[in-house]
Amino acid sequence: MTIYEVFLKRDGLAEFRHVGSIEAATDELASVLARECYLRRSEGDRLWLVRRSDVIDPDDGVLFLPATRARRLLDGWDDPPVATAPMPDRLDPDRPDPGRSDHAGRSDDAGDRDQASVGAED
Amino acid sequence: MTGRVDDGPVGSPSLRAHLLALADDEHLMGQRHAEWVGAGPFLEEDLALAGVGLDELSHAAELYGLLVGRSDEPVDRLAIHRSPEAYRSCWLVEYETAEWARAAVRHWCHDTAEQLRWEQLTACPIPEVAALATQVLSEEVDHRAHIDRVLDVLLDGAESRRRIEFALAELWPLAVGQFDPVVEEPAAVAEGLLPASITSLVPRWLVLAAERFPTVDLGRLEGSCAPGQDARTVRHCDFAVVHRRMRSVVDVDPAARW
Repeated sequence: MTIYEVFLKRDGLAEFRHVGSIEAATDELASVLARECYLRRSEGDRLWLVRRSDVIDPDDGVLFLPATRARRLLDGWDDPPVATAPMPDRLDPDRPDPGRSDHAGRSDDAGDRDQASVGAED
Repeated sequence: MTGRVDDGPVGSPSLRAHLLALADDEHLMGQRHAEWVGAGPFLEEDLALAGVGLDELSHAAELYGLLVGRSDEPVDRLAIHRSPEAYRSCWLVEYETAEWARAAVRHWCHDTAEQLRWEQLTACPIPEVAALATQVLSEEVDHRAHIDRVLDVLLDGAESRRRIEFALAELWPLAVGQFDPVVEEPAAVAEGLLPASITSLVPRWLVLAAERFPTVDLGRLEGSCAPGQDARTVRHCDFAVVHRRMRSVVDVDPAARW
């Protein structure tokens, strides 16, 4: 018996999503059983079956970003970590965002100009 | 027969008898497939067989609905509250088995036979019957795909093939018995409501069986039939138990609305 991972695509614009797995003796039987197990109520209009043994499962070295590459995080270049620093916590709300005040200021200025132009037309 | 002849689209008593036999076959097959829920060889097969069984029960319900028509008679009365001698199912679907090889062989035998029987009905001059036949045939494609893929695997292994072939030999008389017509059938043919007797379908079914089971000497099996079912008027000894079970919930409170 072979284990297959099952992916469904709902409609033309949706992406394939993993919905579960099934066990079957052949590709043909897997197709029939996947339909009965995952498409009984027209849950999708495309189906992919992938043998679990064919799935490439990279090791941790591929998965985790080394601390020295923190420049790739959304925090940007303004506070570059030194090579020995621990990974910055991307979800830390107290972490300062140097660009935020500038953006806010420009946004407010633009808003004032809009208000003024509306008043002039009146 | 139950129901008045002017209740629905099928007025001819002979065609009603013919359709009732097909409905009873679908009904009992659905009941037998459902027995594998929770007992299948593996989870995926369990779910697949439950789905196939549900379809068969639905096909039976559609046929019973055609027979009941617009009368006040509930479909349940026709489906589960008849006395055993009023059923017209064949022994293949009444027979009870807890062995997977026999269940798989029966699944194939039933689905291929009903394909031929429903194909006959696509030519029926009654539009409701022809439309139902077309609809059912489109759904049955999946049933045959399912059991064919299962048999592809089982016939590929020495031990599993031995078991399948043994089950086929054992069930052969019952399988051929599916083509046993009701006594009213000649009248339906004479009235032009059926193109021919269902017995005439046997040669085509034998071709399908020969393709499916190429290592079995079908010639050795041919000629045997299920003489005991006597034009579907006699129930198999396993029928009483499933008949009682079908009604077990409804009988708790016959007046309840579902």
